Amino acid sequence: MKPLQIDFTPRHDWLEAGTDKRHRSVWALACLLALFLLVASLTIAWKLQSERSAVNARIADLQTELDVGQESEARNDSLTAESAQSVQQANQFLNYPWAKMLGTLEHNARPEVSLISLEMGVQRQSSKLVVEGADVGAVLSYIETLREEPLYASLMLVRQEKGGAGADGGGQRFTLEAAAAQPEPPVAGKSGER
Amino acid sequence: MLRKLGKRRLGMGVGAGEMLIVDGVSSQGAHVSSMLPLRDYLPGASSPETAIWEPAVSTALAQAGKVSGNLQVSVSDDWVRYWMVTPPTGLGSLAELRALAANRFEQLFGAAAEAWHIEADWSDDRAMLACALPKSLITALGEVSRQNDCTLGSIVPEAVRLINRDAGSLGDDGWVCSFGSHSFLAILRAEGRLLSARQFHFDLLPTLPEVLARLETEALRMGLDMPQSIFLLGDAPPMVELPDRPQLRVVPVGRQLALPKPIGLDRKTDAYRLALYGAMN
Repeated sequence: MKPLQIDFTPRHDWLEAGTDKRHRSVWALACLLALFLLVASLTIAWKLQSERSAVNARIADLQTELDVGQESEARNDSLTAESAQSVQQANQFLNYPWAKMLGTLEHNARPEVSLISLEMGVQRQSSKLVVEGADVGAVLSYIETLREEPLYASLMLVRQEKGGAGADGGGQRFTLEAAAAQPEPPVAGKSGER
Repeated sequence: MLRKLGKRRLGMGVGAGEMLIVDGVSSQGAHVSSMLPLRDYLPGASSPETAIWEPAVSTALAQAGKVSGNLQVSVSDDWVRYWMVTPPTGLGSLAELRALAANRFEQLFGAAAEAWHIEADWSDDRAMLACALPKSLITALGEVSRQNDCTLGSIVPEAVRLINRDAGSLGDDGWVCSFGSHSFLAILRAEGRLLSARQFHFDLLPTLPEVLARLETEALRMGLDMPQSIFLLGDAPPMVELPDRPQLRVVPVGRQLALPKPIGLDRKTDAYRLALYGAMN
């Protein structure tokens, strides 16, 4: 048998008010707990906000440092590109197929067509040819022959004028813009093709 | 709590005719520091409602001298009213349960509940034992102990003190009868649930067959079957053979506890026994 919970001691008078009073105590405790949780939440939120501000400031600083670094790196890159371009131009100039071009011109030389001048273009990637002949048809045929040479990627007639060649002085002078063909790059993995 | 633990235990017995304080129990016996006949110190003692307890309580503590301690008060069932309260469904607070118990008290005893302090083994979903003590006694004990250097540890009726002392030996089914000097409380339980509570008064201690006859009548009145177990507490009648009830099991509980010899008192009175319940518990 369970002991009886009966005692008349006045200290038990807090039960007199019944469950309502106990409910009030429970509500008071709940309110205190809620207040504590609210204060704790606000404190934590304030602290997190402070930390967030500090982190944001740190991120801004790092971003600034990163921007400065990227700008400096970009400047270095542009300098490198300019240098590379100059080197490439010099390389192209040095690698221009002069010997092959002169050989081609010599191979296709005709008595009725005179090569007046040959000079390098401004871009160092093309050359300017000036040819002259009394017979316009022979000169045009000569030009067509040159166009068929694989050395030239293009051969453009940029000027035609009356020249002094020929017995009757009725020769024609042609100025041509010749672009040398780029050497074919090596095909990667060509031997591995199936 | 620490203050309470640091104090020694004092037992006060409020008997039917006297009030007594036991100030310590040793191997030599129990030291009685105060004994007061109530007939001289309890104005209006003809009725519990009209009795004025403050002079008696104050004098008893004054007789005990400069005692300080944790006062455990046991009140004779002569001053107590017992009854059963069955709460209906829907009660929402202890205040409602108290009002219900007070209303039932007035119905059963025909007296106003205002003069009584009602306590119960409160529950809102099962029948419970309720009891009432004169409010003036509770007030006087509280005020006088406050004026002295005493902590009021408990105020418990005699039957409740006995039942709680031997609760581990009591089964969940059957009658539990707690005997006082002029009455016995009989509570009937089945599977731990209270079915009936009735206080029977007597001038002379009834015999065991007479007790059984009263219990059978009560069971019949309540429309319940007579259980086969009866537990006896307190100054119960002596055991006798019951040839006509072979199935009945009568179990005296707590009788083996011999009361120590009183020091400062020539006999073991009712109030002495009550005081020891508190001092030794």
